[in-house]
Amino acid sequence: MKTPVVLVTGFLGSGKTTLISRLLEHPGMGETAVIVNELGEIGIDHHLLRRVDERTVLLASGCVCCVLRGDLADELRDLLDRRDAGEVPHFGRVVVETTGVADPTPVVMTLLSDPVVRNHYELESVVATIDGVHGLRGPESVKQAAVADRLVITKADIADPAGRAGLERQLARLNPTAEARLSAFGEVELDWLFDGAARDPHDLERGHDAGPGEDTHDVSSCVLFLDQVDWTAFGLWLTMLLQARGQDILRIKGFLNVGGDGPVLVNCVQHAVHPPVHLDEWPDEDMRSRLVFIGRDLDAERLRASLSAFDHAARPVRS
Amino acid sequence: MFRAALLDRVLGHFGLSLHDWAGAVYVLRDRKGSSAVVQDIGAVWSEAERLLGRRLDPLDASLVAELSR
Repeated sequence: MKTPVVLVTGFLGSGKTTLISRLLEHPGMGETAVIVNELGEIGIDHHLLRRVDERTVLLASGCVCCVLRGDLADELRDLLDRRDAGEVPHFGRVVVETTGVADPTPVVMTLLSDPVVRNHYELESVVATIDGVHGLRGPESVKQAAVADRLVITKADIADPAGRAGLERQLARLNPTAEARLSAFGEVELDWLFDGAARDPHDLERGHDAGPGEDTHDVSSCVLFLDQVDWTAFGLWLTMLLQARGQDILRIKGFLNVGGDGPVLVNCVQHAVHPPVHLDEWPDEDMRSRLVFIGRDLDAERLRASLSAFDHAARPVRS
Repeated sequence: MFRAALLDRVLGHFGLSLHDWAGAVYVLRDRKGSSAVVQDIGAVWSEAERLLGRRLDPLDASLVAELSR
């Protein structure tokens, strides 16, 4: 069985360490290894975690999304070796905290593509902390929110209620696939945060197409609804789309009706494609394919027409 | 193979063709006779881009019209 990995991202000062620190106090988090990445020469965050044992690993002096990607893979492999050798207490989950300026996409790519890592670990979810007082801050912050499965809006105790409500609306437009919850002092329900269903794109009706805005650095989202789609045609279309426009597509997530009893869960973070998950049944009565796209220069109608054309072309080829 | 046939149709729109070589690899050819060996279908788009010297966009209106026929 693969060990789940939770990636915690979020802008500088948005409350990542506070969140993880609080999580580690929870009895259900006892068997968790933590990998902390910091930019500075002297790491501080791992001391703030208050549980510096052999399962807490510091990746300092560089950012995990650029210079330290190999180090992250090495640390994950090393943790496995030491666990198997009994050199560290057993752990059943790994939490990776990125730096505040990190682009989470390359980290996701490492987790999904490194041969050893992907054989032993499974990326469970990406959690982004969003500063409840300052909101999204810069393109890094927007990207972190766009690729997340769960959004934790921090500092709920001091955030202005009106501003907070505006931030919640902004996040729902930006990333309709991620559920957001408010948190004060890092308090958040463990079951919600680590629920596997975090990757299920429910409630898409709230994710109406949202145009680009200054506040989201030209990142917008749209939802495609289609009927049954040929799986092979979709695979070709997706790989071609990511090759051509991968830099502009931050996220694709959704259910695909490929004709089986249940949908296929599709989840991509830029070029990083999660292994598709074939579900046994639909979560509700709506059996349409529905895909959320988050990125720049998105045109829902062109995306839909293109995918439909690939699907149409697959029929005579298949017959 | 269904996937290769569909791929060949898409590539054909851009003047490329895909040939199965002994069931092991694929050979991608353009109309000028240039070719590239593709180890797996996942790499076909980057090789096709390299041969053509431009991006192959699935949202291209003429491709969408061609595939919709």
